[in-house]
Amino acid sequence: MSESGHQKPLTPAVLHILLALADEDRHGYAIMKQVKIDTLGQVTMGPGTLYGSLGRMMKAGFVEESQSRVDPEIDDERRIYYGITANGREALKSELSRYRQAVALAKDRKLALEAKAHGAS
Amino acid sequence: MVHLDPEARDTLERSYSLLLRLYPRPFRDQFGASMLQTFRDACDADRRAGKALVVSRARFFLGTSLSIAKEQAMTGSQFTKTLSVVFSATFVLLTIPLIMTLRNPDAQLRGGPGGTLDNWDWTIVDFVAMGALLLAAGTGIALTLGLLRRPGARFGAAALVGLGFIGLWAEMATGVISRFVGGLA
Repeated sequence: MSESGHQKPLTPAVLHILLALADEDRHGYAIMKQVKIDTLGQVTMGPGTLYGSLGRMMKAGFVEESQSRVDPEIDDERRIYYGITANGREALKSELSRYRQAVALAKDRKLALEAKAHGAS
Repeated sequence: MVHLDPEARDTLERSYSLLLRLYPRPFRDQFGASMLQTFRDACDADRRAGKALVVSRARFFLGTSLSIAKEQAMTGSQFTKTLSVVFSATFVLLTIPLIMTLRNPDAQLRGGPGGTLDNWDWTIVDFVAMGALLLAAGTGIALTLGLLRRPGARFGAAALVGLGFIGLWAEMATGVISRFVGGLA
């Protein structure tokens, strides 16, 4: 992984998983549910995409297996939780910063287009 | 909306567990149990919400099959990659009759009386036979494409395997070839 601020852009799946894990550790199905909620139902992440991404994110040091259990009474050992690491948080911040820059740029461009339209009329 | 009884859900879970075995071993060792648990969690959540299980589980099978091909392509040898694609495609194709059969309340697979002609009613033997046929045809096509270089020869050999598949399927389903040969004799 490169230094903060020079991270490679994240794939949409990785971004959504990091966002889902940003506030608490979750198990696989809880991540899938959270992604659906976060995207207002527009993104439905399947198990293949989820666990394929988790594998690559663990290799990159973005997430790790967590020992936390929301409710040990109902959570047996087969349900593995995942948590975001400091590297993952840094990658998420960096990606969100890129998104903010893109939105700011889009706003500027729109203003410029409006100015041109006004100038032409 | 179609709900599945516990037996049908067990069949689905066993099928999904079999499908997970097609992942490369390191991936399967790391995530296999979690993926199966996620499948159970999704089934439970859908049942509690009163949602139809059939469509969402079909998505699970399809997405997982595609993911297996991707993971194998990234990590496996050429031979295992080819076999995984063939196996994944077979599973995807068998998902269609599996879902249709599980939707039929009279299906023998669900412990029903069976014998309905207007609905899907595949038995385990049907699935095994069709799975074996698809695997044989897929492996045959993969081998011919790997061994032959000339485009005409590759196309011809693949077409021959395809025709053989259709012929065997027709014979198993209707016995049309036996009847034809019997009529000639």
